[in-house]
Amino acid sequence: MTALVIEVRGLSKTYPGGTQALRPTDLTITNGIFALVGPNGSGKTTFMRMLATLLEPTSGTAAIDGHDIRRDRLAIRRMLGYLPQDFGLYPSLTVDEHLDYIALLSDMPSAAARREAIDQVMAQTNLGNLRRRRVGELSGGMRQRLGVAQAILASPQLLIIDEPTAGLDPEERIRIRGLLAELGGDRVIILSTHIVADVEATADSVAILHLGQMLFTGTTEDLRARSRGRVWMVEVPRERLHEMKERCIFTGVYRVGEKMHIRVVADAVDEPVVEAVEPTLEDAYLDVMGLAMGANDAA
Amino acid sequence: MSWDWLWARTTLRSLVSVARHEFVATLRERSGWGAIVAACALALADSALHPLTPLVSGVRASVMSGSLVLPFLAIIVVAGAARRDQATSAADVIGARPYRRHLLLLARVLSCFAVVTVAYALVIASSLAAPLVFAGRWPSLLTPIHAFGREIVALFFVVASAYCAVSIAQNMLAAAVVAVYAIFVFAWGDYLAPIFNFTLTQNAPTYALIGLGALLGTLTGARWGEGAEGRRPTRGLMLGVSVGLVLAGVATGWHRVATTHNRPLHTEPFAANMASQDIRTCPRAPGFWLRDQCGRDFRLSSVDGRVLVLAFWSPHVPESMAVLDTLQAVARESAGGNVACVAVCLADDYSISAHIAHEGHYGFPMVTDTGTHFSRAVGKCSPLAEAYDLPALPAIVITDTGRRIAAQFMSFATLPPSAVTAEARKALSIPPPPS
Repeated sequence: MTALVIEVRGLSKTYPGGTQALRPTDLTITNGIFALVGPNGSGKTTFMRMLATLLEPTSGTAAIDGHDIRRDRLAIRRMLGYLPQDFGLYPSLTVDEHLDYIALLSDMPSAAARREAIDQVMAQTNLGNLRRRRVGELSGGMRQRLGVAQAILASPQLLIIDEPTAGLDPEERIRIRGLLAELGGDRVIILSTHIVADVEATADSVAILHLGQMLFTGTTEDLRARSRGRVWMVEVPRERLHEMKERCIFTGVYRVGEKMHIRVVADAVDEPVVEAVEPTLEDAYLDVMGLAMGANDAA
Repeated sequence: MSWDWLWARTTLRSLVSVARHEFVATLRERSGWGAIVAACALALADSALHPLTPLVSGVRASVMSGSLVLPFLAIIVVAGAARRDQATSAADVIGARPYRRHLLLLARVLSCFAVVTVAYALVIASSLAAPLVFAGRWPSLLTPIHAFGREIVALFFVVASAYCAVSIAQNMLAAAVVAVYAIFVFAWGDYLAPIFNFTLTQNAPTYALIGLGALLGTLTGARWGEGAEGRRPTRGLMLGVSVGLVLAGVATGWHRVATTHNRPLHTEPFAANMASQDIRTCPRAPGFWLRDQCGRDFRLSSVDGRVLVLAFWSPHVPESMAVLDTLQAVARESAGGNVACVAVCLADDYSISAHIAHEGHYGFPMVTDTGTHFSRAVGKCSPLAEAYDLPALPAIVITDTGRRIAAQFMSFATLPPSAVTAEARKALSIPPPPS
């Protein structure tokens, strides 16, 4: 399978009422798992819905494998699998009926082909034993697995998944992460999340969105490298915590006896007990976000 | 096999499959079932509370349950389905699929229509079950078929127009507008009732044309909104055809108002004069000239010189319909004699009496006073009821050969036909008035 390329040029969205959900954005996405990270309301869902041809952009354009998102919607939908954040369809249908329905909508008129595809995705998502269960009776994790199953049903080249692990318990979260990691490879997966651990576990490249602006795009390694030499583990007495918070970006606080060990992002830390540490993706993310918020505050 | 034929077959097959899934999903909605059960219970109670024959039960099922309950039931089903379909998460899951929007919309309208049709069948079945459960009488097959036929086109109109309105307006307000429209229709009388009354089979072409036009226009709009990959010249043609269908529907309705529908009699000067006759000083049965079950004009003067047995009933007073069987028995007993039996239906729709006469095999003339309008007092509900000073239904009026009122029976529960026949024989013995 040839590599799929998504070219985003000056794409922006302003909702009626003047809310600018996405500022003009340029981006190129190729095969692998691409994670969009940002706090709630940062424009992730808007960006993904535009790529999924569900939302008309205000300006700019994007081309998926050469197909324009405004003009070639059907061509894009034929190569797309989409899982929205609040996945919900007909709660009264069973899992089997639900997938059959989605397969029909994915241009699979042959019942035999549908059956085969459904059996395959059920095996992949471990839904075989829930075949006859109604969608409304599924737990959050099961429902999310069903969401992934319906998204990959037609073997799409592009998979757009919005917040797949939000609200899940740790076990289900790990299961979904594993599933996504399996699915990556010869297709593009665009994954949005505000949980950095998901990105760390699955993504090849990452973009950080904040207030509709793309603050960073690159590989996860690039993101980590950006903060290398700026992450410190500092030992401070408890009463100095507040003072430290004013000066540094905290990425972790641990209690060790009477002392506090804090993980901070800063250019330099003037403390007696301090140690430079390797940045995690979460450190790097908070670094980028902290800088952006600092810039906003200064403005 | 040509490509076009293959394409059409594949499209039709997938359309049916999508509609089947939508049908199953809608049928399993609890809110819809609540409405269906309520409608069935109403129909059953309505039939059970009145001593009805299977024939009358069928008419009641379509006239009362059909006209009042089903459009609202249809709105509830459609509004529930439309709300579910427009929930962003559901719309996004389906919206990101390559399936054509207009086909999906068509499948959804068809599935809603199928659900409402099932509900309607259940309502009719409930209504017909009452005679079987409470009186041990089997319902006739013809009755549900006719009852079904009376409403089904109107229900298609309600479902298609409500779903299309919600689809175009993208909110539930549109369904509310259709519901309010329905309330107005049922609350209003005179001209509007005959035009829009959902029970009126005469208006089926109007409903069918407007419903199809609205559906076709919405489907074309959905395809248009989908963006590329459409044949642009056909869009204009489709929109033109849909507008044409709606206009043709409106024109058909207008034409029927002008030609077919009877003008309300209480606006007619002759009817007002008839109503003002003082029957106390001159107790002569007022004459009339109304349409019978075959669509022919029937004049009371055509049976001059014979004893007259007039039976008044209305489909809106279920117990009054039993008078028809009494009249049938009197007609049989008096066959060959100088007695004329005539039934007078107080309703704004003469198609009901035509159905009743046909289904009940009633051989006597059955005329309809289409000037009837809703009133709690029977005497005020139609010009003829006012002229005959009827306080309640059913009523039987017997005249002598000079058309002087000889006997009246009002509001009886079960009147033996022999009693009426005896009065008719007595009336025969009254000497005619001097000419």
